[in-house]
Amino acid sequence: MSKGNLWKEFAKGLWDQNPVFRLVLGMCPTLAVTTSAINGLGMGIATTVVLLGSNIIVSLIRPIVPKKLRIPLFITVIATFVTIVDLVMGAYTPKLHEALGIFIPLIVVNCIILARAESFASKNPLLPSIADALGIGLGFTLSLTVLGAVREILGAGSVFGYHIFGKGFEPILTMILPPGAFIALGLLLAIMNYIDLKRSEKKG
Amino acid sequence: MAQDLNKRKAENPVVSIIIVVITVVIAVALLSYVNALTKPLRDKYQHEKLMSSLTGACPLKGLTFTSEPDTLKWNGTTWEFFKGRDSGGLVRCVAIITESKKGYGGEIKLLVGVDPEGKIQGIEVLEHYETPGLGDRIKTPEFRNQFKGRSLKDTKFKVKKDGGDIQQLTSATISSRAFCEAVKKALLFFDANKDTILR
Repeated sequence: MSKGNLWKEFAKGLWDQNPVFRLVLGMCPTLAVTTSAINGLGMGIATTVVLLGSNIIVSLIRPIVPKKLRIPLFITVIATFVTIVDLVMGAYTPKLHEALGIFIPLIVVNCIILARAESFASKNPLLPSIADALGIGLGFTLSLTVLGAVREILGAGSVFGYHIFGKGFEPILTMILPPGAFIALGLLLAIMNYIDLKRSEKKG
Repeated sequence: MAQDLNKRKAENPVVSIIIVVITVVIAVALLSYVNALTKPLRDKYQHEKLMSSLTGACPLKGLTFTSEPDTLKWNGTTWEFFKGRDSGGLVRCVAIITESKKGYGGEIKLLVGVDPEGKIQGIEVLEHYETPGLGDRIKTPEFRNQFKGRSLKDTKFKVKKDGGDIQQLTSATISSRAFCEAVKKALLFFDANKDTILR
């Protein structure tokens, strides 16, 4: 596998196969935890760590896993990494851990992770699997952070907890409530589609 | 070729069982190791959080609290409370854990600090599921501070809308009501068991 191919596996997760805005996967954490930029970033990093770990192990045990047993074994691998992330976050980032709450253990059932294990890591060697995990993970993290930032700016007038408007700013409360997640996601999807449209127009 | 190999392995249940058992054993070993490694830090955080809540509910300086709560059965529930003693060993403030199930999003759990006369010293929110931006303003000092110094003798612990003395939060009356109910329950509990608690 050449360097160019590795880069391709990595870069696809950022735009063309962006898990949130292109594949529209993992919507439960996407909509639920992105009430602020820091929550989105934390959830993204936690998911990326799990994804990286599970892709590495799945790719390594790929030759010895019997076909019929692969799903339970992959889930065990994923659940192990999720529990590790859960325990470590509880110890080192307790505030963030509390804010994300139940959505950390729920990474186990995040379809992005099982999808990458099943459709990529179980069919590819170690290095491409790592590139794939980092790309998809970073794409997920960036998407959640942007979504969180947009909602936090509009809904609370701050980014990463820093207030950016004066006291006269009246926040649009809806944006940090559940409906705001759908509104912000829809608007960002529309912007991405528009950019894609312009790009393909240019290509002719 | 590789697929044939896979098929053969899967057909043998003993091999399958061995593979699953090995995987689970490795996972369990790894998890118990990480758990042992991180547990002290997690416990420390929980303890610090509780202590900062205790000093919030009982702001009087120089109090020492027991690290485990005292318990007392009253009115069908087991109540938990922390006694804050001064340097002379006298109980100057009691932090009572109380809750109301009538919150907008579920249970609201509070820590209410009461002095020996039954006056509120401070209130901390331990747990709540109220709407961000609306009901979760029960956490703001502006709302909580209006309870300071009040007791059952001089205050009706109801929101003004219901004819009480407590200024409800605009557009969060249900949360405010539940908050009042939890506080009142704590005061009633303290009033009824004063002698046992202060002993």
